[in-house]
Amino acid sequence: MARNGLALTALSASATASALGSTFGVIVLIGMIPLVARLVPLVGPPEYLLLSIWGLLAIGTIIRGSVIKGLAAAGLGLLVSFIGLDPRTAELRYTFGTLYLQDGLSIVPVFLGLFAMAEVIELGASRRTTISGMSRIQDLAGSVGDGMRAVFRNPVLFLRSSIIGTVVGMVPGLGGSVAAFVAYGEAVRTTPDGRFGEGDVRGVIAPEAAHDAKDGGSLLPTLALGIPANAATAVLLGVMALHGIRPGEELMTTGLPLTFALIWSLFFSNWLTSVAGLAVVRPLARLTLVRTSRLIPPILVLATIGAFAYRGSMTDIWVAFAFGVLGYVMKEQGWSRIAFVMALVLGPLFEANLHLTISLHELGRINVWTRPSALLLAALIVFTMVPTWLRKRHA
Amino acid sequence: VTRGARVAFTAALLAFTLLMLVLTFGLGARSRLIPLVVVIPLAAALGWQLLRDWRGTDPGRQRGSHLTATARAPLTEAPVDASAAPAPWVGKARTSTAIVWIALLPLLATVLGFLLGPALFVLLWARGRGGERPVIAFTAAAVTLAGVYALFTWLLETPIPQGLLLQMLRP
Repeated sequence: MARNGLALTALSASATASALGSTFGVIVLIGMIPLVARLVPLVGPPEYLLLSIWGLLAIGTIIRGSVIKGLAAAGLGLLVSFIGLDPRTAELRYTFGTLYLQDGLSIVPVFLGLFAMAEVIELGASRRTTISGMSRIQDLAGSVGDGMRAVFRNPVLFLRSSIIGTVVGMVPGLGGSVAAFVAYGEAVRTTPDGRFGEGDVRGVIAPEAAHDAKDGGSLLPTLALGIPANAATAVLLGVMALHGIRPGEELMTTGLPLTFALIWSLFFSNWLTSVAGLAVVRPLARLTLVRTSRLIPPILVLATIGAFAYRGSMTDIWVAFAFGVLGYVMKEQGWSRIAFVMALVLGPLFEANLHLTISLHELGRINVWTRPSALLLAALIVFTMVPTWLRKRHA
Repeated sequence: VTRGARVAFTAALLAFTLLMLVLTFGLGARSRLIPLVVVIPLAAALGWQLLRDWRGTDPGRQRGSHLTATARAPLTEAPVDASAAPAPWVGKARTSTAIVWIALLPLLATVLGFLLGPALFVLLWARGRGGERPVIAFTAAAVTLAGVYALFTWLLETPIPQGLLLQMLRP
């Protein structure tokens, strides 16, 4: 959108979808507190497995252009996700004898490389003087109001994405990236006329709403059962333990004031960041008017520090650079980077839970065919995927 | 993108996949099951794609590009004159130069550390790529130095990596 001169619209749509998405997540959180203690234990390895299968199948629906290239990109993402310890046997796979690869490739440098660095390489290689190709703020199309209105003009998309974000947020182990990608996939699947990847504002609304709605969802298992939904809630649980606060029944009954204090702080912090984001939309949009030769160094330096800071490893900055080159070539030649990263994120979840489900089933500890939550998820997968595949085939 | 570039990239991906396939056979029976389920069809798909790239018959790519180009082209705009486009080697040279410049940052950060590396990169970029005046280039480098120092010291609260050179020079 920035390249089409619509940076103002994109940024304001992003901030609005974030604020409203987080509000949706908080409302669901408040409404579901009484039910959650009964719901979360129903989610086990078979449900995780089905969720990851849902995500992997969704890749097939977001592929544009060559289907073989899209599927191959997803296969490569899966293959890269297998690097490191086997979750079942703890055998080392594809580490080439290096210590660095034993934990697998970290998602952060891969993401920074595939998206940030690849875009920087493209900017450096292009003949454009600015990102938008314009030099004055007056030349930019769109406005803050357009972006905010775009969210209200797509209520179904917004609601669907927020629901996806909240549900994904509730499932321990799935992060905001999964929520955003699943919501994006659903947006592409349900919007045949969309021009995703070419400046469609709906491609901004869906992941942003889902990403922030997941915050409310992720607090549910954390507060009700003491199960961290992601890294942030794991830290929260650690802090609660330091203060002698036990999540679970206590927080759901006598500790409700503290529970609501946490919920309101989540609500206000999300709104504060969105309002602050809206306030700086214009200065941020001006970045698309800055000469690319002046823009590239700070982006590169920040991306490099970001890649390093995640694990404090210098190797990560080289990984980010390598994936930057890979991402640039993939983009140039029409290979789906989204399919690659979706498979990379979902691969470990799929493999670990496939093994667990099979083992537990063989041991007689679970019966997949008698689990209502698994059957419901399986039905959801069939009902959402089959019509899409049929539609694609007919098209 | 030229046919040769497409063939080279797909061939590289296929070579990587075949290497992984060989490594997979070296794993234990239980560890290699799921990777094999992925890597064999992947190698087949890449082999098929390589054939299509080799023959220059990638219908998805051609159709997609054509449709996208048609959708993007304003109705009033005259058709683009293909002869006016720069030669492929010009684009390749520009891309290679950009990649080499960008590789300079991880290289400098690894050798000189995170305090001096990014600052020197900004200085070199501003003078060499951006064509900035020396005053602006040195100011940008100084701002980067201060910014990186502040980021590591106050925000990340971690020691700034010193780089290989300083580690080697240290007694």
